[in-house]
Amino acid sequence: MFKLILIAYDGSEYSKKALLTSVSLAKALGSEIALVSVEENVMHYAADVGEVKQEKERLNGLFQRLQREARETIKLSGVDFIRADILVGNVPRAIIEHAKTIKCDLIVMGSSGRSGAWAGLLGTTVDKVSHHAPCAVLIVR
Amino acid sequence: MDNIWLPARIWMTLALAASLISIRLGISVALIEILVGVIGGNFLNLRTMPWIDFLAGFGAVLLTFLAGAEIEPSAFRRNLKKSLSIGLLSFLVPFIAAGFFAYFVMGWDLKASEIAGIALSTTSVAVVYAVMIESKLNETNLGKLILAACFVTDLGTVLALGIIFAKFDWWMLIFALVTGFSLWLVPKSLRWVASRWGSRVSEPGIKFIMLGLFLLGWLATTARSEAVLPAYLIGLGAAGSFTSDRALLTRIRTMAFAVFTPFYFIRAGMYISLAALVLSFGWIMVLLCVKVGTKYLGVFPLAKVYKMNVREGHYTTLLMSTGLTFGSISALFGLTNHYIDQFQYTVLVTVVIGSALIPTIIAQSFFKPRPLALDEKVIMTESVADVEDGNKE
Repeated sequence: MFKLILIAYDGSEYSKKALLTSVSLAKALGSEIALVSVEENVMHYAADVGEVKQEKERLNGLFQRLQREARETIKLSGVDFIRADILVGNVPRAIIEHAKTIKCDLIVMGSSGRSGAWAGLLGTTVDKVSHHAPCAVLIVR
Repeated sequence: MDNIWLPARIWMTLALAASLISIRLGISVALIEILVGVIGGNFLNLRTMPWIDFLAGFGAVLLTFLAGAEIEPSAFRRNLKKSLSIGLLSFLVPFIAAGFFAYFVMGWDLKASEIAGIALSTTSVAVVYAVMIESKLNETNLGKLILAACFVTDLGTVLALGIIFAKFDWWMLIFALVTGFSLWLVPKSLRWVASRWGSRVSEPGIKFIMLGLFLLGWLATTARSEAVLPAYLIGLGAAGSFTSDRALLTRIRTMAFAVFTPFYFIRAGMYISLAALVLSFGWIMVLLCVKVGTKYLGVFPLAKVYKMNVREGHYTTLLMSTGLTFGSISALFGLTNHYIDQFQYTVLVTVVIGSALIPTIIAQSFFKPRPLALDEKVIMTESVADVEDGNKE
């Protein structure tokens, strides 16, 4: 039914639940798993290039560590894992575009994550992905 | 003796608040510090003092030094002719046109119009860089060309700031000679200092750079020039040395952003009058259009000459229209030296901040170049590497 499951992972409590749910689902259905994380909040309107570079390095380190932990969980489960990506930019847009690129059948994400201070004003990542995704979306609470 | 601890506490409270707000919102601390300064100056009766002026002034010097030090010499040399021509016209056309507009249309006097021309000619390398890394354009030839051109534009800005208002006497000659000598000496001396005294707790490398900036700053102000000019030039000269020793640059940046630049940006915001902003909103919008329009006059034709497609031409021009640090430094220089008044300062800084926001939003929304094949290849490469790492683990 779902050949390829894409997990949107940001290390938050709910995305960890989404990861475990995806692994269980993939085991039951014989699906493959892909992982995606999106670096948001790369310092906009900065005064200094170095400020942007340092912040980017911090985010790279953070998300690489998060993805390493997630891959360990997937590896231990024995599920087929095909790729992990760290993207940069607007979170919902990046997830949707990536889902289209890799042609996944299901996106799994936590109901709440690191949406940041603008979520209340501009809508959460979950709202936007569930409305515009090219495939089914499973939201884990 | 006046108790300086109370104002110090107030200013550092504002700086801390700005830092925390910037982390929460994902917006640069510089912009938030300016906004906090606006609140401080308009509602909290925030006032400056000589020691705050010094910290703020050195903050501006460090910012320009750090800006110069971030240039990639190899990328600049590779795109030398294109970046020089685009950068030069990106500075000259807005400088002349915006200056003329301020003089003939807005009725500002000559000195104020020159400040307007300088402030509105700038390009923000940092704003452009942050926009580019989201789509990895900073790794493409187009991206490196735009970034190199931005450095040239800012060089034009600091040269104009340092020369137009200077007094051409013996001090100016001494300043020029010492700066020229320092440019030759800086790469060698930095390498020697790093090899002799690198990584010591007492940070002799940082003190050495600060000594140079203080010396050149003193000479610059004695010659009625501006301390940011030699700071930017020394930064450019030192850029090659920092390629192999990023740690020293990082520590200088930490010191600058923790102690000095908050005073600069809060002070810059403090002088913005909300009443003047409301009254002059129309002129602000017009000047913003002048800035972007004159950048189009200077940059867009060159983009066509260098065979960029239409989308890339618009993207390049809009990014070259951004400004923040150097624009605010130019305006504050004008205010501090009484070339412009608070009303004119409010207009210019608001236009500068607007130019950091609006052109980037338009460029990203409508004209982002589509190197899709490159993007996909980069993502795939990372994915394969990650999967291989996973398999080895």
